Amino acid sequence: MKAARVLAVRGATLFGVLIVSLLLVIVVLGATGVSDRMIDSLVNEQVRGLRQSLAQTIRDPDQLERVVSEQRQQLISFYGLDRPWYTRLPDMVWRVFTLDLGSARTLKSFEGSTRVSDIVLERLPNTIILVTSALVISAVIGLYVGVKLATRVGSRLDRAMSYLSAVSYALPTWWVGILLILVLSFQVRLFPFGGIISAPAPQDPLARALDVIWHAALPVATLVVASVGGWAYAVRTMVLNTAQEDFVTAARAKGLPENVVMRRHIIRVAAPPILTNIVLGLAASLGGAILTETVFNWPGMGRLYFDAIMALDENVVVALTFMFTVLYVVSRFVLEVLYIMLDPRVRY
Amino acid sequence: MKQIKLSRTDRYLYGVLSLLVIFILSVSTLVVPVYAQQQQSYQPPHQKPGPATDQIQFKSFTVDIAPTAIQGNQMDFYAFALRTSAAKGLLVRSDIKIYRAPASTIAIILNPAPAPSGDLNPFSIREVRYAMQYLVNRDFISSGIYQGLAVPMVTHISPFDYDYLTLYDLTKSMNIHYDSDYAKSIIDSAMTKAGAAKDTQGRWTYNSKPIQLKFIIRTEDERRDIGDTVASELDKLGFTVNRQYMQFAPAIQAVYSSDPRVFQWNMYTEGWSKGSLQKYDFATLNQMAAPWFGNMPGWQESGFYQYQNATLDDLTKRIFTGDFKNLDERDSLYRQATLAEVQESIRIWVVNTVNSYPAGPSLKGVTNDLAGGPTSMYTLREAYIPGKSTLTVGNVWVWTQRTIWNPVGGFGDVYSTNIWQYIHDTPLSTNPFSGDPTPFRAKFNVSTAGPDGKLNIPSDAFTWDASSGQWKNAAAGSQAKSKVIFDFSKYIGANWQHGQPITMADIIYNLYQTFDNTYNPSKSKIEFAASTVNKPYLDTFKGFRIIGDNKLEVYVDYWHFIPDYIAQYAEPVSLSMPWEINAAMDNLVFTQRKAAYSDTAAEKFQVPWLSLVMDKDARLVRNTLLDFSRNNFVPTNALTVNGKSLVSLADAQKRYNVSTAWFDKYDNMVISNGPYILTKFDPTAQYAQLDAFRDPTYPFKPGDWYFGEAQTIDISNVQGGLLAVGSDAKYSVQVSGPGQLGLKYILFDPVKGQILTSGDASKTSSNQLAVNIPSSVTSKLVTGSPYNLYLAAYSDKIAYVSERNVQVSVGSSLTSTTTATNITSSTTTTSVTTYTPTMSSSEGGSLGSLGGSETLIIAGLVVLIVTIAAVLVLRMRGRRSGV
Repeated sequence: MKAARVLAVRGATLFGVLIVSLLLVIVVLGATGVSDRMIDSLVNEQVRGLRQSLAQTIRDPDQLERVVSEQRQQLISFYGLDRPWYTRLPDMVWRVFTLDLGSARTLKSFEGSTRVSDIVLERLPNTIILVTSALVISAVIGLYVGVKLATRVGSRLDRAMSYLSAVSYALPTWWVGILLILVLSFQVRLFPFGGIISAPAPQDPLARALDVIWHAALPVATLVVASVGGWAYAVRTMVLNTAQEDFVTAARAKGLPENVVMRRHIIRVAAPPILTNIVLGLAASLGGAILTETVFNWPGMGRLYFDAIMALDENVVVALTFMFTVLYVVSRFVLEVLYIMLDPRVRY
Repeated sequence: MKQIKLSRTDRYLYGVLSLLVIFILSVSTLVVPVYAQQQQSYQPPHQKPGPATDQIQFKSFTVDIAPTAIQGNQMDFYAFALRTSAAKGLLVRSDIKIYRAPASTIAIILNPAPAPSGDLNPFSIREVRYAMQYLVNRDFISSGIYQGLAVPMVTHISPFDYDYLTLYDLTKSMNIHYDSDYAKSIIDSAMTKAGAAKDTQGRWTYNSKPIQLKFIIRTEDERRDIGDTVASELDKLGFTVNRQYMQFAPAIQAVYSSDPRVFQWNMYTEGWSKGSLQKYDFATLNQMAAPWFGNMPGWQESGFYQYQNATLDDLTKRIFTGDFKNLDERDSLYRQATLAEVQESIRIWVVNTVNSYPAGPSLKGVTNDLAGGPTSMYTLREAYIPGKSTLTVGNVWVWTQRTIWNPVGGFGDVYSTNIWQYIHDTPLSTNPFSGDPTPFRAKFNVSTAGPDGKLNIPSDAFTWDASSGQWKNAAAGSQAKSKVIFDFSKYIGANWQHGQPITMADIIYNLYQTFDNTYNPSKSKIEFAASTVNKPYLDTFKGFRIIGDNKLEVYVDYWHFIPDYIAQYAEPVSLSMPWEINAAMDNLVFTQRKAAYSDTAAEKFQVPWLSLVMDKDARLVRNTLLDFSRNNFVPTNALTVNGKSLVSLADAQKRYNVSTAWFDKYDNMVISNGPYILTKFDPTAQYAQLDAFRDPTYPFKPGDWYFGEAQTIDISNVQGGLLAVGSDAKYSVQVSGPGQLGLKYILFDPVKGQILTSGDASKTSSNQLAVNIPSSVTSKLVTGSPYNLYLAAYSDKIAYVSERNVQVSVGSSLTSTTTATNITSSTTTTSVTTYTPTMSSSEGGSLGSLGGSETLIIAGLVVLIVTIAAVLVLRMRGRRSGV
């Protein structure tokens, strides 16, 4: 009962986080004037281009000016600049809050839909294939290697892996990506250098799936190379810290087999922080990896967010911010529940 | 007969002579006129109707990967310009061919707004702005920063523009060149007069406050280096330059969306893409120099400071509206306006850059057009690789968020139009080298009453009456300045890509659609943007007449001193889609309200922006055609002219059936009349596929539209006698090139900076011209002083000039040419790129240049080594302290 109350409080707090995030979006985009200024400059730029093209057919200066002015009004209305930010943005936020993600102004899905939900649903599987897969692979390898290293502290393997982990953690993903493209795409010609599917794409569903996996190989490898070191070292450290606790010594002193000590007294105790990383990592993975997606021309969620900001598509920016915040909030709440289940010490 | 005995030497000599003769004879058979040689160099691969190659695959490659992809045979041609550094490295390679085009112009715009009281804006002083002309080292920028892939320019017209000839002597007489000392003297004088003074460190101050110049420098390309160069020069002259490096979005926001009086900028590095080739410019001058046009500081934004100049407004408006009687008057106005532009120096023109497009060495049939470079409408109609039936063409994108295929409302981005231009045939096109309007699939005949005259419009001519929804005869007494008869014989009778013949109904429906969408009040409320844009233009059309089976007579209130330009203006229809597709789209947009032609209408009414390559939208069109068929619908109001119906129900039903079958086969509704059919369009894969349209009724075959490279105009063998004071001087110049050749000359005194004489050389033979300098001019020459004889050769077939600078001095004969400033090379020149100033050159998506991959690898290795070293050190320290 007490736990339920605490979870409810935690839930409410996280809900507050969601509200604050959305309010911050309004403030950053609206109150600072950033959004209006950038959209205004977009309109001006389009009007300047329009004036140039209209000059080819409209040779009366007064008529040209009138037409340009009318087109400007059309564009202002199109971009929503005819409404002040304090009505435009809150309306947008309220709409996404009621789970109506609305329509994008300039972005669209590959099928031509401007509905934000369609765009997201099209991109999300791409991100799962890429980023979530890479996270899972990194986590599995990291867990295995980390635990192994923790049981061989100070050994040559441990030292070597520590160095490699540091290197892996330091490597920029975009650099790794470009290097892999140069070597494996251009020199060895084993993998494609970018994109999500071959052009032309295979028609057979199985061939199409294999083609996507083939295209995903390099970007996934990039993400794994750049993150597995961090995972391994973090797991190693967490397990090592737990292994040095008194209760572990006591368990060994009681004569328990080592594998039981490892499983019941070390890994289980070290699980919560590891699980935190995994759950939060999974949630974050759905936000995509902008740098890797850009290098490999992979149409994922990270790239979508970037495109939305560059295109100043406020609808999409607000909708995606809402989605990512909800993901974080939900994953945090799930963690709270898992802590209670996993760690008997956590009781309210 | 006595036998002649030859000595060994004689035999040797005779042998050599014989070989020489044989060699010369052999070579002479290969030496044909260059222009003809270009014609002969293209061998059509076959004589089938349609294009040279059977299939084109469009794929996406980032700009950094493009050269490697071509070398790896992953693509045959790249339709996007390479970076200068990448292009330079490829010029010497034999496995890649580079096509070049003068693509963009670079300028530095100065903010002339007056500063608030107590401050001073140096650029509010005209003399200071003018001095900037001498502070920009254009030669260094073009040869150093652009490594030869740029040409200096001092006005908005570059040596790649035809009007360069109009301004030739004016440009030379301005004598604008890099001279920082001269610039300093002007600036010092003007600034001191304005009340500024230099402090003890030589920095300009006003009211004891340092004068700061905010210089917004774009970073995406060589403008960064240009900005740094100019900023350094200003720094040397005592200005404190606040360099603000920005990318596109923040830069345009700071410059074009702010009031100049707020001084978010004092200077900015502009980049402009060159539009379609225009032999007689009217728009660029207005865009770059006319305050009224809205592209000068202030941007005609309400509430902003506006740069004003009544003289420039007057002159430029007259050019814009065609307020002149003939070419001479037009040229005079143009020169006056350009002179005023330079004197005001709001824009300091820097260079015209040359873009580079890579292709495989085996690719044949490329037309390097003056308006579109190798990406023009002609290239892929004629291009092929011997032995291959497929061409792979790369671009940065095939599909973007802005991609819309909508022949009525427009295409959303340049990547779509690059493909679309091969799917349909336009009635008219422009000559790729002269820029003149030219018949493509329709011929024309122009009659005009001149700038002040009128032609009577016959009583049986018709116009569209939107209020009654039918074609009505033109009002009695209607008149127009010009009449153009378009002959559509190459269309009518030939088939659309779905197999049905093109008829006059297609032309008339296209015409109806354009007029009704604009003038029909209910339609114009829906598609407001299109109607407001089209109305002023369509108001000039006064009547139409169908003549015979294939001709349309158009009456238009427009005049130009070149009749072909009247035809270009009066081109009534694009004739890109069959009438039933247009009718279905109209029904969707205006009756069913399920789609929109424009993005603004789509947003306003929350309907899709109609794109015929999108399955959902194409399906809507298909369903509408099925409804038409079920309901036996025929748009009789649009297709009945002078009581005669242009289409029967049976014909209409056939059209509906074949069009719906098209969708079932290709999943799109892009049906047109050009050499290629769009058979696949896959946005996810960034892929489009065009297959050749080999219908026997298609009128063109390979070779019909091949132009190749623009032939260079060469100035060679400048010969002259002794140049003596007080004596006539004559120089003989050999000029080669296509068409009617001419030569302008200027004798220039570089010491005094004056033109001594100028004029047109007289023709002495087909390729020989004579420059005559009379004694009245030579009597002013000074012995020992150097003089420049500038020569500019031109042709009526090519819209650029070829220059040569010959140095002459008194008391010497000229026996050879010097200092060729010919901007063309053997592989190049000309034309425009599709690069636009609004697209970052990094749009390809990669974060770094793979051309600099070695640098990246080294950088990465350094990071690795440093990291490992740091870890080692830390571990050693840890061991020492016993941790």
